[in-house]
Amino acid sequence: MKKTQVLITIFILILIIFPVFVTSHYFLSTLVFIAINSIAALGLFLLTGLAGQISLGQSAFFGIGAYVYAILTTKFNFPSLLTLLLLSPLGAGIMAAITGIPVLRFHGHILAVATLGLALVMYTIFVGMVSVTGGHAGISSIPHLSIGKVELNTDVHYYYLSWGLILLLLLISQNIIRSRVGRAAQSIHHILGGSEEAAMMLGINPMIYKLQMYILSAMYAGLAGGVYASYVTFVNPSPFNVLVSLMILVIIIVGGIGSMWGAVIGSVAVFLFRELMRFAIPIAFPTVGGEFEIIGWGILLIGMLLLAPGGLIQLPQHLYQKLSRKSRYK
Amino acid sequence: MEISALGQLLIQGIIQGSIYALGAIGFMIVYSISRVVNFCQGEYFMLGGMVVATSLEAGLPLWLSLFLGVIIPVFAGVITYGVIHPVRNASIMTLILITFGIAFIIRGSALLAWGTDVRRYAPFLEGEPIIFFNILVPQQGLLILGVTMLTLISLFFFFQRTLSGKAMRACAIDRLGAQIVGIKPEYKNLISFIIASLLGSIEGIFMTPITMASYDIGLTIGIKAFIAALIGGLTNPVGVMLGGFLIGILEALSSGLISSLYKTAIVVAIFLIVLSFRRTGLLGEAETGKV
Amino acid sequence: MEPFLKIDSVSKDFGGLRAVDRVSFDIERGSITSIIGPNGAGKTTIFNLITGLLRPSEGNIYFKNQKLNRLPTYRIVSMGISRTFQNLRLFTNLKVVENILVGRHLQGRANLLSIILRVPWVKIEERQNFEEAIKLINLFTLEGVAFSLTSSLPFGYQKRVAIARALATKPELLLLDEPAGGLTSQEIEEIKQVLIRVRESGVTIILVEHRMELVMDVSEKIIVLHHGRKLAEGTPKQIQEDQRVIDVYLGQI
Repeated sequence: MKKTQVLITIFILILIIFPVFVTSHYFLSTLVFIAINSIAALGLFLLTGLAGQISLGQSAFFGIGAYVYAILTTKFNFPSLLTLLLLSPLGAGIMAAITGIPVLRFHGHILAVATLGLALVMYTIFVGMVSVTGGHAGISSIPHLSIGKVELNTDVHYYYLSWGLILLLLLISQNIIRSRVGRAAQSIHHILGGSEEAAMMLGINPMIYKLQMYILSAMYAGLAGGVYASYVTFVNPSPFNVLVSLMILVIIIVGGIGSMWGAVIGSVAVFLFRELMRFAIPIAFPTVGGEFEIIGWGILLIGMLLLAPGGLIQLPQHLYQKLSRKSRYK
Repeated sequence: MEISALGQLLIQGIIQGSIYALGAIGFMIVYSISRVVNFCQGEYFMLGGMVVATSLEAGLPLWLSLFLGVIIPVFAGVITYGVIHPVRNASIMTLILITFGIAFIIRGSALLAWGTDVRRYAPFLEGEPIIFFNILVPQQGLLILGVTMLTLISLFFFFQRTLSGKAMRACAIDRLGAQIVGIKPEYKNLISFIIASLLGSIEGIFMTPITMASYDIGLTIGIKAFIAALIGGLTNPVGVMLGGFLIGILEALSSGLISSLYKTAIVVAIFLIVLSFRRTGLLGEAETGKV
Repeated sequence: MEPFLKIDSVSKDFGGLRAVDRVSFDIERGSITSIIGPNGAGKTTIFNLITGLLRPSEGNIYFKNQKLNRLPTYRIVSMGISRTFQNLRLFTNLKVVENILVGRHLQGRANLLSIILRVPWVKIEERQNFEEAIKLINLFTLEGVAFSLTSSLPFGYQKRVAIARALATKPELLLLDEPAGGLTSQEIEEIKQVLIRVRESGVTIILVEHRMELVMDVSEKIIVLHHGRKLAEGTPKQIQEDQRVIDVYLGQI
């Protein structure tokens, strides 16, 4: 216990000091995007890692959060702080509440396809409702977040904002995991060892907790979407396509599906991997375009699932076990 | 709306639907025998079309192009099996993600090989569309229906009449029982993947002249085939086929009557509605309420 | 006075198979009753019917005068009924103490909002939960393994966790499905003591059981099922002397 607390404190200290030494736009904006992805991934962790409900629909909620911020601040002049912190997550949460009730009655593959289908439908709406979302052209000139009179318009501002948010959400998530609600959610996670029937026999209504985790995870993604929109000041449908949902799932698998820190570790790892792909593949295939890094994700996903299913966070333990097994036979 | 215009849409839907029906059957075969939901089903379709297009462009004779267009997706199917086999007893989540991972790899490889271009080739039967009660049926469309019927009949024959097919059905019904009488399920799993990828490649080869192909069509085709299988009741062949035709008709009707953009949304909506009322699909096995 | 639990002409059909056939019996508050019978007699099915995992095809089930037939399981549990499973169904992803804490679910009020806002009574409630869980851990001598994952425990320990978890819901009626299955004679003796103490604290108990040492020693009433029908009902002595029961099931005893 103590060792992790020390590690976390060091981590936070490094986070705070980092922008003093590193000022490049590339680095800082990369870190902002990693934090944004971590927020969405943390949400998915609560739903899939904790409660065991496989969802491929995070991209839809991410997009809703982004478009809510974009539309309310540009077309209706809503205050940016209120919109980002409250209305973006709320919009996503409401959509989750509506779609969750029919969809969460399914399990396993059917649930996966149902959530995937919803993500597809949402993307179609982003593209199709041109009068509201601007279609493929999107919405531009979105205002940055302003807190009171201070406008956050630099990379450093957003760095502190996004990492501050993910740390706050990690704290909140930890409280949830170790609570009555968190235990109820884990008790129905039937893949990892929970049992819906045993939970019902203790008075738990599984649907309530599935729904709560679903709505909560959507709100996390909605918040991430709002931050994204206010940072990039431009939204169009392409960052909210179905593959993004899969990427968020890859993030928590790679990071480690058993721990909320997997969301952060996974985001960093996936980002590094993607940069590696972007660097390496055009060397072998100079004329390539489109989302070519997808082949890398496939390999990464399969590699992790076959070799290290517990994710990167389990890696030290995993290696330690392997090594101690070897030394026993010396 | 005129009868013939409606009828036109219906025919279109049936033709498209037969493709989904084959894909749904492919899903069903793999699922009932290997208990795996294979999200690569759509990628076999994509490979079939793309390979044939490229071969024809390169000047290869038709028979060779068709041969390659079947062999390469089937090869992909065998690879799918090969990657899944070591972890076939893992959790549902792992299996779903592994097939997604394989689908990513196939799709990514296609992108590297063919870029983002859209490919197409001439229909195998050119010539005047046939007129049937005021409805124009493209000859390629008839070919597709014919090939689909032929394929379905062959499958029926295989599963009902041959020893190998019956052994596979035994695995689908009771794995342990099948093993006890000496059937090797792993071998049957492999065959199920081969059949599924074969079906996928056939769909792709015959459909590409009409719908065109590019590296990224696998995802939506796969999802729709899966939805068709689920709507029909994942383990019932007749239901699954009907599911395919239903989806095809729904798509055609919504394209024609509402908007082509929302056809996906409508398919998903119908999927959710049907499954909300009957958890196991229209013709699937009813739940007995056992604990 | 109406009986505590009333099974009134209940039947359950699975397709063509009638697993339970017009079974009726009453259970009095504060009693210990055992349901025995050959495998396939319908004993566990009766438990599933009472707890709402299955719906009766015919007949009614009343608990404290309320009809249970169409209620969802978690509703039935909140009315005061709790149960263990033959195959335990412990939460293997959770530790022993956490399993028992899940059992405390209905005794708590903490919800998502109050947890996120770190409202003070949540912490107090958690502490209380923990104290109650420790009491149960002591009752079942699980102190040594309280923080272990249940999957790493020997079977006898897992059994105790299962019963402790069911008791954590503070039930008025406790259904135990083969609590002695797979246990040694000594472990059965320990379970017997626990059952007596539980009954003394006011909980009504129904056992489904095969191990006659436990059944005969601890039950006030025994109900015998055979092919889904009630064959006999009476005190242990009466059942032991009942010729029909001897023919069908007990034989040597």
